[in-house]
Amino acid sequence: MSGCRGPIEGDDDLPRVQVWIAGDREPDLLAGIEHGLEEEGVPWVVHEAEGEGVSLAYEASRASRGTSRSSIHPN
Amino acid sequence: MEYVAGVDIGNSSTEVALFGRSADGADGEFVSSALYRTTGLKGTKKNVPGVVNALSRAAETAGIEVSEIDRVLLNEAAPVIGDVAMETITETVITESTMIGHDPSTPGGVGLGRGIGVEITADPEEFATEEPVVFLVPETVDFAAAAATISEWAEAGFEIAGAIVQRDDAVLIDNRTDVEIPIVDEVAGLEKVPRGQPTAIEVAPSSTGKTIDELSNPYGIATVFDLSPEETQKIIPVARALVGNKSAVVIETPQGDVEERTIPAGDLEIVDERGNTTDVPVDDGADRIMEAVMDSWPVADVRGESGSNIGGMLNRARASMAEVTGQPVDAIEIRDIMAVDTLVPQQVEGSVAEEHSTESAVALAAMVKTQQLPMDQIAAGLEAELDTEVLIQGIEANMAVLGSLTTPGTDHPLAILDLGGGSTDAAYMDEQRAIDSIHLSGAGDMVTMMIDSELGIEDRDLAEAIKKHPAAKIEDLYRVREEDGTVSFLDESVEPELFGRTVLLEDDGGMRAVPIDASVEEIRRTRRRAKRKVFVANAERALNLITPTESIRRLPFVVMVGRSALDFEIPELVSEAMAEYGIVCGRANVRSELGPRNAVATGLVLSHVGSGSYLDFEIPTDLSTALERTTA
Repeated sequence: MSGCRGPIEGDDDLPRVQVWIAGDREPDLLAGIEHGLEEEGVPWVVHEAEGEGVSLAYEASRASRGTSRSSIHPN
Repeated sequence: MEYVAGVDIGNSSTEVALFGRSADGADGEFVSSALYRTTGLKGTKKNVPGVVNALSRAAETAGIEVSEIDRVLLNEAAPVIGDVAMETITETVITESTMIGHDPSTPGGVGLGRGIGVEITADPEEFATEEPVVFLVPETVDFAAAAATISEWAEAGFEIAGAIVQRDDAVLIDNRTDVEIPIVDEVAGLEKVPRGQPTAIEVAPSSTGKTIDELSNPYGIATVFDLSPEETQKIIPVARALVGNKSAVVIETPQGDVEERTIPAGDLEIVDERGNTTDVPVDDGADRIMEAVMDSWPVADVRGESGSNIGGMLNRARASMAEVTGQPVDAIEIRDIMAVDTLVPQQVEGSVAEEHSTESAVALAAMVKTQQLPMDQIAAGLEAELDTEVLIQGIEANMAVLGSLTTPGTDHPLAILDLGGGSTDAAYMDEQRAIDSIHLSGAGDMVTMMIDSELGIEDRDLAEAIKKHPAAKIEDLYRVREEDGTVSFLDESVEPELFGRTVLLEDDGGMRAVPIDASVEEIRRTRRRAKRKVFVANAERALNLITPTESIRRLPFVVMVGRSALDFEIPELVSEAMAEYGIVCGRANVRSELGPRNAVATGLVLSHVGSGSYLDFEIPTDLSTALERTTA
């Protein structure tokens, strides 16, 4: 599996899709996203975050080496 | 100033050359050129709006009103139209579920396995551990549950040889079991896969560029299933259908069979000018058809068997020309046929996973000819619209030669190749400046059809775009790898949806995604092969027919004009082929600045106002006497 939750190891150089989640509960959508990324062999990482969806996606994009991002917001 | 406009109405575009000269006729020069799409079918009154639009554009560029144009010269357009059709002549049929040869994007695991097909929900106690097992995983079974079952059976002593999965779950299952097996997924018709039969499954190693090599090899299948020489002969279509796949399943069934059938495609009846008739079955292939066409040259007519694609295409072309000219359909003649062998992906009849097999097909283009197009109706329409004098000035091929001779470095005798969308035309001006011309079927539209069919696109607009533009791979948001391997670094990122995609590099710097499962290399190979098979073959055919000596080696100059001469690689492909004959062949540069465009429009003006400084000889009387024609 290529996924990773929480902080990435300091020596992890792999470009990953950044998936940032806001809110207390993980949305059911997350599992679907993770399974899709895994089946396609795309590395990803999931972070918990606070904020509004679009701005989170922007922040995620700034944090991504692979320049592919998404954020999930309960609303 | 007096303004004279030459107008060339082509199949797809209408071109204008606008000439201004002093009142005494002593001085004159081309003041502008313009292009607009042809409205309506070439040679019909519906062309008038397109002509008016093109004239308006030329006038605007020259800084005058369209009403200031004193005279409009129309060419007597060649009364020919082309049409194309494709006839598939083989099909692969599965009479029982014996093969799954599709290419899911993400199969799981790797290697070759052979076992008995078993439903994953089956009770292991009903099976003996001696027989290897290939699991069948329907969409009702979750990937985690499937992985757990595979592990449980393995722990119970079963040899697990592989898995066939209905959903797109192969990697997910592979990641959740330690049992290393090949897994093929996205098998939509899993319920059709026979249970309890010997089943072989193969997945090529990922990220290596390799394809399967056992199940695509007849002897590989024979080895897996211990087949006799007779049985091995029968599975050749199976192996052939699996070539190039990254994963595959082959199932041995008692009555199962995969066969390649030839589809009767009807006969072509070719009639020569002496009335002799030659029948050629279309499924004999392009070489046989072209041999018969050239043996029957000059062709008087061609008929296709009713009910076949070819017969339908020929009738359609005849009906179009009859409508244009107002003549009865029987009076319309098919004067040329071009046939090209091709391979097209077709869905396998009886398949369980929407497998495609590469089938043989014949692409055909036809050239329909009548006596004369009703150009006088267009002239009358233009006169009414513009309130100016309109002359039908000259024959299209003659005008094209005159216009082409304004290309620096050319001289007569000279041959021109007019590479169009519907036809490939050639004209030859000899030492005495007499001109002969020929119209052959097969040009840009045929190339588009072949690209469409060979890549399995089923989108004529996309196929046309693939024909016109080089392909490239978006490696990341800032890097593009072009067809020749060159990597370009971009200043601005590409649109996110293009990430990792194959795109077309459009003329305006834009990028268009190619939504098909084909590599840049495959697209390039298909595109160039289609252009070579149509344009190079037709250039040789046309020049051989138009040359008085029937040897194109004697031609000193060959100039390419027309819409397809603007293509980024067709002139290069034709020039490359002509170089083998030792002749100078290149793209025209009309009036030193217009490239291969505007040759006919320019020729029309030259034939009216004299050659001036544009040609280094006086235009023969028979090329300029059209001046004396009565206005429409």
